Amino acid sequence: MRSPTANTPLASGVVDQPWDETFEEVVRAALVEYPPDAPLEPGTPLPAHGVDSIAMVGLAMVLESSYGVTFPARALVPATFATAGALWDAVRTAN
Amino acid sequence: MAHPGSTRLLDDWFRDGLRRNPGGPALRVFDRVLTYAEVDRSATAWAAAITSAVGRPTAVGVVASKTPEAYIGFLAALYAGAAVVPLHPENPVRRNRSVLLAAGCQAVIVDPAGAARTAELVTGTAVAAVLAPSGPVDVPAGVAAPAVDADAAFTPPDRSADDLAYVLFTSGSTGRPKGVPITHRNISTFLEVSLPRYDAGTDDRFGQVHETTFDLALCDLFPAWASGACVCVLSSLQALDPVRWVREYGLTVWHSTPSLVRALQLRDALRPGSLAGLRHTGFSGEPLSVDTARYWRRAASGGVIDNLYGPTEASVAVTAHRWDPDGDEVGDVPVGRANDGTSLLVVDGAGNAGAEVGGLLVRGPQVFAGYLDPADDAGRFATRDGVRWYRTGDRVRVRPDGALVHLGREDDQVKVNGYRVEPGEVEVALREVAGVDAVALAVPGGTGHVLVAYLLGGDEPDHLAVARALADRLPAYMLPRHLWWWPEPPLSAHGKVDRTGLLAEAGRRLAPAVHPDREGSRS
Repeated sequence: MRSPTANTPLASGVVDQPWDETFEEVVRAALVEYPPDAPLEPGTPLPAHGVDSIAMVGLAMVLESSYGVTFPARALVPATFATAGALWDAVRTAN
Repeated sequence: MAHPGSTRLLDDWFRDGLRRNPGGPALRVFDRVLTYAEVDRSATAWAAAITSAVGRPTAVGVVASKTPEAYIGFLAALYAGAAVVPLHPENPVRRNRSVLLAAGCQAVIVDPAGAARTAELVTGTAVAAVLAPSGPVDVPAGVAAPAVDADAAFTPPDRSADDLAYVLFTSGSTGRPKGVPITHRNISTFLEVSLPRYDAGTDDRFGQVHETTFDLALCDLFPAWASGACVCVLSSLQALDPVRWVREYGLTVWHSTPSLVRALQLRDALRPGSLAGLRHTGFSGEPLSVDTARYWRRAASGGVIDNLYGPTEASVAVTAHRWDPDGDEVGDVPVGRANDGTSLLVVDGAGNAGAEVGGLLVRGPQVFAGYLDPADDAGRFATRDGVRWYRTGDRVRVRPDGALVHLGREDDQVKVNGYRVEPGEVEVALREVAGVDAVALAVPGGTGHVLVAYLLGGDEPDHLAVARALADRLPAYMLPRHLWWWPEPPLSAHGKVDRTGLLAEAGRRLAPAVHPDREGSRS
């Protein structure tokens, strides 16, 4: 179980993401045809890259088990998954 | 003699629950639980605020999604003596504005999402008051933003069962949404015949999956409220994780489209017995396969499953079938027999009534009188032996035992996640925003139809710009999943665009194993 506050610089040298490698991997795995060399940024819109509501539910489950947290009910709305940054905020504030 | 139907008002059913269970929970939205008395008090205060600003309104828009405003606002509009016009705040503003105009709304109730673009929404409409119970709202000059006085005294005006209760808008093939006005008599007749199926009481908790812009939501709201039970609102994401929320909220009644279950089934997300708390499930909105019913029943092992069928024009559902899990049916679960008071007629291609397979006509006290715009009535009604029938456009087969089986549509209309979509409406919008010829098609897939569209001929369009402009006109459920440019489309022998060829090609493009190259797709 990882701490959601960790901020590990990525191997690629891109360091301006606020999140850790686990989050980066989990979110990238949920995107459809997202180029591996394109950066994932806080403003990256997830629904524009194939994250539909089914994928959002799956993402929530994977993030909950990766970080040992439970999203409160009111976080389980599409707005939480609108961007990578919004989702990371939800992970950080869940407990 | 024609069945007269119910003479009750839609809000009378809420008052039944209020009498039975005033201090009990009527509405749950996330962790917020409101009692019957609290919901009634708020609805009364909101109705008073609207009435003090505009007098008795004929129609009130409720721009809200899955928030207390969506539900209490629905009741408040009824209390004010108006027809409710539910609007999804995420729909394009210009579409919502055209609905407000068509329905003649004099007031709107908005939730925080609905409040975000209120000024743009009401400009140029008859709306003279905006009620925003959750906070301040910007309104244009000349439009009131009345404050809510929680203790306001207010008595709903006298109404008749033939007054409008709500107006819903569905996809129209001519390129604009069609308004479907439903009277208190229409919807109350549905509730009167449907309530016994639920056998619900004050301990029941209904999962509320559908948006209130979709009349299947009324199948949760009013049967729950009539019984003094609690309506537990589920966000679109909560609805896709029924195991968790049936358990956490203690849900006993579930109602959704079969495609939601199909999506869970494809991921095998439901363990046997994992929905054991459910004692009643209703499916509607699209065909229910026996396979999907079995999969759900394995999880909701102690409960019964009803399959409902009906167009919005006939007030939610006109048939129902209690599925027998031990039966030997294959294919689709029947939709059952007509509700009490409703008459059905199956007419074959030659116009002969009483056919085994044919188009379904319906009449009775649940059936609306006609579209908001009479122009939309063209071709939708049939008069036989002096009696007027509504043409559902659905093809059915009558089983030897009298139960109907839904076979599909007589026209191009499809269901996308339970929503009615006319590909023609998508096509009209696409031609307008792209400025080139376009074809929108519904491709059958594992969980239902997938909407795709082609832009034909001309120079390569700016896909992102077209997609954005389309999203500015159509609700999300009508947006094509893929938008492809085809400079030299195949033509039929008559020189027209070969739609069959385009459909076949779309099927190939959507099958990833056959066609991994999805270039030009926007998702």
